Amino acid sequence: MLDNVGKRYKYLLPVIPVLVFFLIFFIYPLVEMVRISFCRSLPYGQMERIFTLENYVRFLTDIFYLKVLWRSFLLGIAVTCVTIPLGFVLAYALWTSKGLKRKFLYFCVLFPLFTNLVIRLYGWRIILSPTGPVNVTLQKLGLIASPLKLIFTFPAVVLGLFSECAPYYVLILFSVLTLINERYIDAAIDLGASRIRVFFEIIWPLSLSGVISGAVLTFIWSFGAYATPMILGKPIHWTAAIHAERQILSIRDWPFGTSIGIILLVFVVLVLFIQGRITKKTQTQRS
Amino acid sequence: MTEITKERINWNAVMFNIAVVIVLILLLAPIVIVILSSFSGKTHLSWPFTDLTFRWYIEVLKRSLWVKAFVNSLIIASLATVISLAIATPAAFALSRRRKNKISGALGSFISWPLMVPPVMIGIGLLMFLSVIGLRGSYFAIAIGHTLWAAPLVFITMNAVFERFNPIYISAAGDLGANAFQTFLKVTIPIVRSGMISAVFLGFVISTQEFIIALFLYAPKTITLPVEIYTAIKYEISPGISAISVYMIGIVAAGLIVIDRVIGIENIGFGGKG
Repeated sequence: MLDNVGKRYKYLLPVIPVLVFFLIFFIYPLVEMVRISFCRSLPYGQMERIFTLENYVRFLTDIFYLKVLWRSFLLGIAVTCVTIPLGFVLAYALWTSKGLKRKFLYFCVLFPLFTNLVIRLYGWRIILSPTGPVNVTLQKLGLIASPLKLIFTFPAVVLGLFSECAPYYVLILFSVLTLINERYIDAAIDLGASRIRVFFEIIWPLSLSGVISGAVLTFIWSFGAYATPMILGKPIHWTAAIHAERQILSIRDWPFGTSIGIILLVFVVLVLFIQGRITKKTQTQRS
Repeated sequence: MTEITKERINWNAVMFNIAVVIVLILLLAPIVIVILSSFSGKTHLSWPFTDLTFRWYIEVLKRSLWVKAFVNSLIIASLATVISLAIATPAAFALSRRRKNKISGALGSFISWPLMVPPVMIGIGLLMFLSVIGLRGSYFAIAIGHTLWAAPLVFITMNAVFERFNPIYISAAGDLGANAFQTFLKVTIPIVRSGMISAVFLGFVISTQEFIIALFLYAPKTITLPVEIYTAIKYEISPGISAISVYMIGIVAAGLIVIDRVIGIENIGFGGKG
């Protein structure tokens, strides 16, 4: 009996190294963080190892931190809303193109993806600065008298996060689009359906799974973003992730910092859970 | 009647192409502007860039701080790539061979979990844990952090490769007397070569560009280039930073061109037909 079980799961042996690695360096630190988040913080980075909910209570009753959480949420929603249509356009262009044009578009997606995020954020800082190309050009054209305030604004943060997440979104969506049987589209066109109808009745429903997983990834990354709001935003745009880091590295309040992190994580898990539910639903509807 | 429809389709196509161009501009503009600004002769970056010069490219190489950070990034990326491949490839192989069941499905999604956790959390967790075991600030510490990010991507890439792989070759090798290890080395690896190359590239580049985890774990001795740039641009934007960035961008571009020559650029990605 035991031998039988052993045989059945023997094929899973090669999975062990990655599991062990993740358990040690990923799961264990997270568990440790959960533990610390229930400790009491003392001055000078010390903490008392007792079980208390006070860090969570402090976060969830302080209007300042609730606003931070709400703004992180809004940021995630805003970036996702921008990325879904714009990313779809590029994925669709990639899917319908051939030969050299496809190569070119593919390069345009991969190049930003593989270029340092810091370098791209630095590029945005130059573009959006008061003496940057956008402001200077608009001024020369006489459209504006004095430089617009572009950098350190909410739209700047959204723009930065869009250019961070879009390449991943496009690749995920593209890989789903390539699985669509093109005969469906030919058949629909032969039967007289317009391009727009083909899009909404065939392509969109069949690519929905890719849109959802890409959008969820975009939301999670923007919601938990650290670098982009830090470089392109002001303290008012700081996300919960930045506040968690501040608490730990600057203020050295480990229990409170980790509790912010855990709350962030709970949100992420919640979003993934909802995504799982939606995917299940669409799958059962189709079958 | 038909003409009207035709015209409307063209109109749609024009709108669509405009949208594509806008998206491409949004993606590429920051990179293009960094490249342009690196030639600026003025120390303060204001548009338009004038007095074009190459001198920043040479000047930046004289600053050992930047060169050291650059070398550190390459060392850490190599470590992270090797670890990611070593742990993720066997897993991808094992989980792609059998028909999907609950266990293999759960394991597969578990391996992609680190991608869902905000990197700040991974950084904080590792900082705590690695300080306790005395690894903090070492090359390995940062490489471990980057592996948590690179291994899932390597896993996803390799899983797609193995899924397209016809298992009949494996049984044929077995029938001819090869053991599992020989089969893996002599049959499986050559067939999945192009997938492996793209996985290596993915792992390496992901590591060279990650900096949030590195920000938590670095010591002055092991500072990586993205962290160095990040700390610098908080205070200033200057053509020197642009020049060192262009070196990084150049490596990525060269890598992509080489990859295109060897396996075709379309083979990098997350599965699909590729």
